[in-house]
Amino acid sequence: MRSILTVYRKELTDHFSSNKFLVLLALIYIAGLSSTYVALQNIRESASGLSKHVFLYLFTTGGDVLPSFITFIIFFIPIIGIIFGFDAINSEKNSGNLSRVLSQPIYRDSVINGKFLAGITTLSIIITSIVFIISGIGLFSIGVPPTSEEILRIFFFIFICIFYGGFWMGLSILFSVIMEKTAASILTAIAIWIFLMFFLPIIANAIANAVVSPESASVADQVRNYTIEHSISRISPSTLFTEAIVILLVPVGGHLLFRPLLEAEVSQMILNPLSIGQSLIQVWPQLVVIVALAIICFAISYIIFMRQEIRST
Amino acid sequence: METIKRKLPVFFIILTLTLSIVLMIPGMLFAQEDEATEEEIVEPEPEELIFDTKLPKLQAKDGETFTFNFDVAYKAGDEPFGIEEGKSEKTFDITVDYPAGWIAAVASGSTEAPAINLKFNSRESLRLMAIPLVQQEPGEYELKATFKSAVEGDTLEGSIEFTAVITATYEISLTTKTGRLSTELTSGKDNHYKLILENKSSKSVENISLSSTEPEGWQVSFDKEKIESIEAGEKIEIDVTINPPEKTIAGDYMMTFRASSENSNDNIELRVTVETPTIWGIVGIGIIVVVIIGVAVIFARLGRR
Amino acid sequence: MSDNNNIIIAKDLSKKYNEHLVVDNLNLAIKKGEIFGLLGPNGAGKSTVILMALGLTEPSSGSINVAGFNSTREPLKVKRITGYLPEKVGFYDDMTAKGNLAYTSELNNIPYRETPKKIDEVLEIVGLSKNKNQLVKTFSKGMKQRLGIADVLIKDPQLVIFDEPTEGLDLKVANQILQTILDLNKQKNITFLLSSHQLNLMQRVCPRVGILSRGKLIGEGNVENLGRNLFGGGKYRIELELEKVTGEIIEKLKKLDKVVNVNKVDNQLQVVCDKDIRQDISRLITDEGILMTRMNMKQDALEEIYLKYFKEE
Ligand SMILES: Nc1ncnc2c1ncn2[C@@H]1O[C@H](COP(=O)(O)OP(=O)(O)O)[C@@H](O)[C@H]1O
Ligand SMILES: [Mg+2]
Repeated sequence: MRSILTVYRKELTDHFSSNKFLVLLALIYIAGLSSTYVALQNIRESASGLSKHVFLYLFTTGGDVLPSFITFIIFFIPIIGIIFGFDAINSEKNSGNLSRVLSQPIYRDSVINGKFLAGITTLSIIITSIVFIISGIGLFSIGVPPTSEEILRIFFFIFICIFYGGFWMGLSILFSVIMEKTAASILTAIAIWIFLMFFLPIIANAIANAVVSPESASVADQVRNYTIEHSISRISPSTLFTEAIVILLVPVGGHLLFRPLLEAEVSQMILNPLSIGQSLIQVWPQLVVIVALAIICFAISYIIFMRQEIRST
Repeated sequence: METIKRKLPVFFIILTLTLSIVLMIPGMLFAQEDEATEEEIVEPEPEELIFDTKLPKLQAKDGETFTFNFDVAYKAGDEPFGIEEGKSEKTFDITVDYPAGWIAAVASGSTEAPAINLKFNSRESLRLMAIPLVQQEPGEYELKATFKSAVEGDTLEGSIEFTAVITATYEISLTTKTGRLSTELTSGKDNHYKLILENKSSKSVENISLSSTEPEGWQVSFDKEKIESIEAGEKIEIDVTINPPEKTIAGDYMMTFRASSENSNDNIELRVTVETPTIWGIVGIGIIVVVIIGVAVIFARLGRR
Repeated sequence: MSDNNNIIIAKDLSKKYNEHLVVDNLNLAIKKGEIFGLLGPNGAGKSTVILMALGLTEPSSGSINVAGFNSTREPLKVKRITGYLPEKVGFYDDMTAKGNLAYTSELNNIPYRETPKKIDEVLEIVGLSKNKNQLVKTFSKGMKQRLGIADVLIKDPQLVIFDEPTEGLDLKVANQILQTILDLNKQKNITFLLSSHQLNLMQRVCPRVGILSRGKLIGEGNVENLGRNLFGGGKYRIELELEKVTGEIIEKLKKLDKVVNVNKVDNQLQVVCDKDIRQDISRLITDEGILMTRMNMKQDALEEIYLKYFKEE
């Protein structure tokens, strides 16, 4: 057990000494601060009147030029995950360090566990610190303290972010285990990210439109079209993550954004904010899948790594 | 003439000119006939002054200027206009009778006219201007302009009467006690703010209700929702309680306060700045500082630089 | 061969990669306190044997024990007392020599307070005291190799396994390294297992070697006597190339005086004998009426071994 801590500490030190960490931190901070600036400009219109969740608007309000913080997060978390995972194992192998380290009296999984934990910790520090900084700026500027419910929602948001980052980190660690070259592992991970994030929605749309014509006037057809598109795009964890954080951070109507809405339904709906319990029930499936994916990715890398023969050539 | 010219479109002038030429031709023909029958002396019709006005009665608030427009014509019998005789032009003195505390005069164009030359058989547009100089009780005031021939021995005279009705003025004004139109508020708290209601009119104003327009969710109340009566010239201090909800985002908001009675109202726009409660400002900065120190400490402890 | 005297014992050790036998039924014993050279050309299976000894890869059959611990089942116990320097040893480039050693020390559970002293001590041994706070990326190949020795010494090993210790080093540096090994062996009584394809370098430090060829241990012992053992005794080896080889002729050769053994290698016959009997042989062949195309004699076992097993790859 101590060896996990040793590896963990060394990896953390590595991360915090690396330029990639500084670049990512700067990127996230700049994105966070600029989106907060935009949010503060526009929060008065978004959080009109009696809104109960003024504080959450800090994270969900965007402007014409810059998007909201959560949009940035949806974009950046996979990048952080990939950057902190893609060379975890193969670079150690290539540098000849892995053989040396594994010849020390440690369990082999200490290395991969310590690395994964260090990556997750670094990711958590980045995300948590910027969320707190935004909260501090928000508190200072809008003078509205978050309710305990909002605080809970923010913590759940951070939690989901970390697991989502964990998924991408697990995936890129998997590639770092099975691929010799770091260039190959990062490119594969990024290709998958680009596919899931940008191409899958297009493909989903195309398939849905091929199955059910989008021009169809029938409501049933439109619902079917939407359902097909939505089911396909839900293959992507990025879709699930987006849904989860929107539902969590937009208590009023956030959960309605991801299902077909019939006009008849809308007209009879009273847009009341969901309670945190309700919101959690809504995001539960997404949350479970994200957590499961993170665990599965890591578990596969773990198993492969444990069985792998480490040669120093 | 000027006023008519100004008022009538060009084609009207042309029409009038054409018509008068057409009408003049038979007139000239008759004149030739007259010359022919010079011997027959026609008993001259009595001269007269004809006044004409569309609005003999005007209503305004005390202190405002009344302007009565009228036409005056100097003619005899049904002699057609435009025929000149020996007495083709006559000067008339104009006197205006007005009540005490008023001043009134007849004006032609933009100048005051104590006397006027009128051509025989012609029409002149004039104005009577009347200004109440001192505060006047509401009511009706008679004004009379008299035109009297300036020719000695001539008794020709005519007059026109007007009525100036002064309505009661009700004017209330709403101002802030400080005179500034902005203030700071703290959210989640009753903020007191003083407005001044003043009756600027000459009479007391009854039944004034106070209202406000505020951002959604704000609570605004007045210490007196209704003011039964406010004497002329009286000032009343109104205490407004403004309670922006706890969740109000700090920043500037516009509010409108309105005082309205049956016949007078006033409103005032107030820019209110909701300030971040100091505690949250401190907590906010505290969080930022703690996070930055935290990250810095992690850097210092873990970084290899 | 009692277990008490042997630190490494391999029994019928085999390793297959996809039905390709890389280590073939290896039986080997390495005594405590000796410097053993595992020699063989590239691809002979030396590294594979070492990996199995450290429990870094599992044998397909057979077993290997280090200091009484089964390497496969108790790798941690083995690694606690064994220092291993892989073929292409690598260090964390962005860390100092001291930093790298401190990490190893921590992985070995060496108490925190003792680490600085330990580091100074091992750096002194390898002559890198001056470079203690230097980043490893500025180190030359030879310095890295010496740092590698320091690295394995951190844990006070009973056994040090050194895979290709002189590979890629110039002769002078290689000799320095070998001298250090000799010193350590003498002063600290550390057992060394050195693997190398550089036979001539190794014979100077290894009193005892094992020759590995295609996964088979084809000879074991003192380099000088090795030839004799390898080829079934005899000081001389006379190689014959005959027009045709019959069993009859082999039998007749065997019956000649001073002949120890006759091997048939490919189309050649190898006569192992204690005396130069070339005249006797050629007489016999001529009497049999067989045409002899070539005959030569080798005296130096080492050169022969080298030519036979090391050059052909
Ligand atoms: N993971 C592997 N899969 C298949 N073959 C391998 C693997 N690792 C090594 N080999 C083969 O095993 C043989 C022995 O390799 P190795 O033990 O590294 O030899 P040496 O260290 O003596 O040069 C080589 O022919 C090599 O190709
Ligand atoms: Mg090798």
